[in-house]
Amino acid sequence: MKLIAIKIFRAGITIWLVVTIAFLILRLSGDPLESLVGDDASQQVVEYYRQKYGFDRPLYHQYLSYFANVLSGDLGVTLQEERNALEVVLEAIPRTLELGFLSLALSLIIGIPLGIVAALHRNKLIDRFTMSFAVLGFSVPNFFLGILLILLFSLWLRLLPSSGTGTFYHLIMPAITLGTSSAGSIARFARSSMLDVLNKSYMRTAAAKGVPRFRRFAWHALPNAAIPIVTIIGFRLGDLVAGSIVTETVFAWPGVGRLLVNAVQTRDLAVVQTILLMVGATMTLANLMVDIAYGWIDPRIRTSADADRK
Amino acid sequence: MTPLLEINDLRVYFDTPRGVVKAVDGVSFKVAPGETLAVVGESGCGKSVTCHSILRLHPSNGRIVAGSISFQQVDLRSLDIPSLESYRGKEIAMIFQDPMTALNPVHTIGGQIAESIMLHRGMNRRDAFGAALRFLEIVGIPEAKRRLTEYPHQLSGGMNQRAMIAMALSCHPKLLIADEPTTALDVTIQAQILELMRQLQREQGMAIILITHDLGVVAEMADNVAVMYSGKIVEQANVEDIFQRPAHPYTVALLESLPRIDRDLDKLRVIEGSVPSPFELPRGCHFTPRCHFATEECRRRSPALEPLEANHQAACLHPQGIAP
Amino acid sequence: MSTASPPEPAAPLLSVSNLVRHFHARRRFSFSAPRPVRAVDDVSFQLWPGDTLGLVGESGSGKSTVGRLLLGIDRPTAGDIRFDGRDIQRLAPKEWRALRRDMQMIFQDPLGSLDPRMTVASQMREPLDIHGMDLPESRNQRVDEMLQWVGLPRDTRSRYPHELSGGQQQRVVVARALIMRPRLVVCDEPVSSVDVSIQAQIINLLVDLRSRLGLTYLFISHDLKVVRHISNRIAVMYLGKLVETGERKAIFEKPLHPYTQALISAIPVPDPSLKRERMILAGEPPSPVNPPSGCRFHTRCSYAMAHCREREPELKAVSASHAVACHLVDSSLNEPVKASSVR
Repeated sequence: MKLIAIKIFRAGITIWLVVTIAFLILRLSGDPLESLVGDDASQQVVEYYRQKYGFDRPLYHQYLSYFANVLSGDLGVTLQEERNALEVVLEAIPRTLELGFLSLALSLIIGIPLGIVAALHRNKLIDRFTMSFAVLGFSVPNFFLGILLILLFSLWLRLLPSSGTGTFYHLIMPAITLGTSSAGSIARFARSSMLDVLNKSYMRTAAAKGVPRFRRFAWHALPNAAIPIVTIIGFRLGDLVAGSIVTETVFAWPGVGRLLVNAVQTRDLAVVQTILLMVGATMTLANLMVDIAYGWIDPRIRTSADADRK
Repeated sequence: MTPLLEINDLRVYFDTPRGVVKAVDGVSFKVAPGETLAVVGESGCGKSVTCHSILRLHPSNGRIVAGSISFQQVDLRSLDIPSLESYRGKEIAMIFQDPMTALNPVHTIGGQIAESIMLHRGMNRRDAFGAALRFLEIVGIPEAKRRLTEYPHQLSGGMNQRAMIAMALSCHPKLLIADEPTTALDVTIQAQILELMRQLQREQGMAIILITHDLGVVAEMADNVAVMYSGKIVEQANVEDIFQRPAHPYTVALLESLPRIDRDLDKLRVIEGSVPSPFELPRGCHFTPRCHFATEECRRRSPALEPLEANHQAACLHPQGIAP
Repeated sequence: MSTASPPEPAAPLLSVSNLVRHFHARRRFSFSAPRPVRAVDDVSFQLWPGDTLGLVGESGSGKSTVGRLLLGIDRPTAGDIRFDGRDIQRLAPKEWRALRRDMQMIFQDPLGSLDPRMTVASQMREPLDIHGMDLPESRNQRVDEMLQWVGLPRDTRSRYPHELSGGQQQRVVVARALIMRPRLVVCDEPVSSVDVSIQAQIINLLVDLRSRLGLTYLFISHDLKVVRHISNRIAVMYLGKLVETGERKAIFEKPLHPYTQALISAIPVPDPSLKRERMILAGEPPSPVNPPSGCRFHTRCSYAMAHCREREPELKAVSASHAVACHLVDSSLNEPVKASSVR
């Protein structure tokens, strides 16, 4: 238990660091008012806005008041529409999650079995074939694949809508685009994890006991190979919220990624900061979950933590 | 007495990018019921591959190209894998070198032993765990009940090896193949394990093939000894003859090169050179480059195992100490 | 450690007093004091020039830790280490470098000890270059000389480690260690990872060079057979403590400590006709984190009395060349505890 408390504490520090760094970078990289008001705005207008948003105060002052605001739930106001930044971001999240979960599921369903089959038939044709597929998967850039799919399915075959959201059909291409590269790297990872396990001494012991092939695979190998794979899944979960900036932009998918791109372009500080805070928090949380889950899955960690306590 | 296991002219070759490695090149021996055969040699001599190939557990890039392996008159080479699997762990059991890695870390000790029992003795889960418990007690693991639900990493090396032995014995095998079972253990623990093996052998009446490089262990445990060098058996005899009247120059030199715990030695006899690379095997007898008694004829032909006296054979044209 | 012994001819080359090394598990934000691993707990001994002290023990005995402490690879938690009378923990960096010339080491894994990207010759030259020994021109000669002394052909100098066999690699390690003519060499399991037939080569080599170069060895090993062969004095460690020390003859003719007896008796002898009385220890070695009270060996000792559980025995001399830490050995009697009929 104490161990978990320590991890949570550490997670908190990480999040704080993310927020602070984001704050500093944004403030120090240029005048936020540039894009808000036009080039030809008069000095008075500029000064007015500067004061309104507090950009005229010293940096640490801004920081402290921002921090205080965050803690009390106020994440600032988007410069674009004078709405609550948090609101804006929260609107975009479900869309991103939708896309994210589907593509993650796709990549797992495709990637893990592919990798495992490749490992079981090492160096044979099927291994080389699937691994080439995998490499292709994560080598092809998202935007390229996305545009290719749009060309094929939207413009040529007219089967799927090319952008926007609304129906399940809108979801298919973005999910495939996002999921493909993920599937590729998961396949590679699953393969090496499985190969690693198959080489272990205890697999030979199992064979020497007369354990039939399938059971050796399912009961002896798979649980061991799963441990590193679970960690990867955990990290991917954290990735979900960050979404894929590129894919969302290509498909005009109204998610967090696209929102972030816009916000950076317009120097909409509040939104950028909010998104960073949220991404930082979810990644840290995901890491934390994986950490805890890991300790639960691997008996070596589970029992040594207990032993420590005795 | 019909032998329990009989190996005849076994040849196991490996395909590697650099060429074919003849890891086992014409090995023959017999094991009688209840006896202990020690297969001795240094690394690379082929002793492990020979014994692993009995149950077809040798590495996948190796092929058994020739020879017969018969167990209780059954030709093991002719069996398909599922039939062979009914021998593995049941009639013939194996234990391996490093107990800390030879057991699956994500399953309990009890679970892994019970698996064997359920597989080969058809018991249900509850009975199998009960039997597993009894075997843990037989091999002298204290607090056996607790250990049933513990994981391998929670036990020491010695305890894990005992658990492995329990697992191997759980289906009452007629033959136990032990591959360097004590090499990774401390010497006082080694003594315990060897003692345990001897005791269990007496009680269960099983034969043991003991693979080792430690000649002291051989003297302690073996009834018969086969000395291997570079893929072949160079000498085979009962244990007294091997130590008291070694005939092959390699055996002689090996014995003289050992430091002893029971006496002071002046200088250790050295075998010059090193084990030949499997890709550059010497012509004729493989030991020729390092042999003090090598002649031209030795370089020309590879000698077969010739009987020298009862139960004593050597593959040498100039066996030592025994009149040809 | 000898006490009240006849005057030694020279001062000890190495003097270790009350050496302690505790390892503390890293527990951040912990509220309770963590239990340390008591790897080395109050060890004292001396090495005279020309000695070979065999430091024996099984895993967890602390013998390798002692080796590392002497070489300065690790810092003691407490205790004194003096080389040639100088306290090695209080040396200035320049003096340390000078000490490095006098004190060298040979480890277990030869391939791991050699730089895979340097040729044999450059690795052997390196210490000479670093310490500025000899004239640069004559350094190559030294390298060739050393190669010859360790029995390697001249062309080895341009090879890379991976091109050599295990035995050859270990010879290079020896050559490199000795090229600076050190006075003390700490050998930590130098023959444990080579084949049996190569072992003899390396052992003979070490013995040979010892007399040729007037070396002093601290020979750390779990293999008592090798230690017997090469050492003139033996020190037996158990769970961080010295349980018995003495001259080779004394130790093997009359081992006094039950652990020493068990250790010797546990080693199988390549002679089937010798049916020895085997003293088999019960149980497992306890953990160095939680050593037993009193005498650390009492949990496995068949002769343990109540007293053994309560008080830790001191290492006491029973003769000029023999010391034991055992309550059962009355120093006036100098009688070994009975070793026969023990199970």
